[in-house]
Amino acid sequence: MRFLKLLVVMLPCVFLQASFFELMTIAGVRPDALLSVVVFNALVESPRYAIFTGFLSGFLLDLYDPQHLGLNALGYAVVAWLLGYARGSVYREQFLMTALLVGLGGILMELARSLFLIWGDANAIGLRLLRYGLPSALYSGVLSLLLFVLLNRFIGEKAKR
Amino acid sequence: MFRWLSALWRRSDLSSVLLAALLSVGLMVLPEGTKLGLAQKGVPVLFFPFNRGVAFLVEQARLGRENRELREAVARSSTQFEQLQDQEVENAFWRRAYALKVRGRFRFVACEIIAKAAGMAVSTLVLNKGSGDGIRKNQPVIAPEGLIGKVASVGPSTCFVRTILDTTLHVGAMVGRTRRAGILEWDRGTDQCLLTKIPVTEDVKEGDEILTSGLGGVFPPGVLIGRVDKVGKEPKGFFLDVVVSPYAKLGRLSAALVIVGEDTTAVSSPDSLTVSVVRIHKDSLAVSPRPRMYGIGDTLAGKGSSHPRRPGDEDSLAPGAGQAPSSDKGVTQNPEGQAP
Repeated sequence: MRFLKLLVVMLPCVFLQASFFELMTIAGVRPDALLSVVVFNALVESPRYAIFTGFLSGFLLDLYDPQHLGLNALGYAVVAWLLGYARGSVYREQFLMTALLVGLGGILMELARSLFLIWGDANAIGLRLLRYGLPSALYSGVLSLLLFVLLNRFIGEKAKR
Repeated sequence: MFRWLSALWRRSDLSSVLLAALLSVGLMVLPEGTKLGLAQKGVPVLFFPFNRGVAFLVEQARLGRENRELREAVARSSTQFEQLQDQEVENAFWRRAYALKVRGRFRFVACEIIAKAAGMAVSTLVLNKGSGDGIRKNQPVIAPEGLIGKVASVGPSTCFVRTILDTTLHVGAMVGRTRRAGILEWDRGTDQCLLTKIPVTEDVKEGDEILTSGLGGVFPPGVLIGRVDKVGKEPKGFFLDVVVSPYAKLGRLSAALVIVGEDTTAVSSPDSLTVSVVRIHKDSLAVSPRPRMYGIGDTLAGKGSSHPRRPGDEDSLAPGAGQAPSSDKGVTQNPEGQAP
């Protein structure tokens, strides 16, 4: 049941991320809805489950960009693993903190993509982070405020235990 | 080494992330074709409902847009169609008017109708030509279909026309088939155009054409007016009440022709005439005798003599207008007078 709920949330997010959010770009910066799902699971679920969630989310997203298949899967899994350390310190009701975590996750994801795509060019990586990473992290953080409300209502029951 | 790996594996998060990393790397090193095949098979299966939903929404949006565009196109086309219909009617009018001018024997001033009297019967028209265009008072006004009326007053650039639907206008008219003359007038009581002063003994049938008799000198003879709709009797029983349906539909007209004189250069060829007004006119002239007028001189003589005529008016009328009537009855009254 838990996995079904996760799929019900994840699949639309992946679909929106790959299609609809293209229309929501601001100056080339696109928000990341999947990060909210990954961070939410990292905060409320076990590390193994959170990593699995991250990997699955990334893999599904990679299906839309098969040339880099595995890249997002690895990135989201690592983000879920790292942000899972905040579990117990940050709670899902703390929207501002969760938004900050989502922003941090966005920077990490952009860093992972940059390292993979333009490995060796530190300047380019830095510029990419400044140009896209930080704005995208900010955009995703703001968006996560809304998404967390929905996630809390839909799959937040288990987290209350 | 083994101990380290074992400890690492016991830490569930580390082992999981390592497993995820291994799987990810494994995916990355897959051949391009395999990656593509995976995506091509996976996306339609996993995201089928979303793809269909989005496709449906996109299709709906496209259909809505197309529907709106088509509605606008239909509205535009309807407007254009109506305009074309109007233009067609107008063109037909001017074609007939041109034929009238070329083949007829009158000189016309073509006018646009710029105003009409409101109400069931259009008793007055305002035309956009006036004395500056050669229009004078009492000149006949026609449409290619038939008689409209006469000029009642003239301004520098406009003129008022009193139509045959005005109760004060009496037109000398005759039955085309028998050439029996009478007086055409508008009966306000019944809202009908009546040909009066036709004795009950006369042969008048439904469908007979009514045209101007030329008596009175205002209207040239032989101009079509209308068709007999119904034949009845007066209450006293001496005369017929002939209901006439005018050919010129005044409510729909947008232009009119004022006869300002005779065109002596026109070539008359009865076979080539297509305009009924001219045909009847020529027929009536070819026979030459003036229509017989029943003995109503006593009744109308006073009215006819009181009708104001100007010297200039005589010039503007048809050839027969200024001539003395040659009827064997010797009628001299002027039916186109003002009603008392």
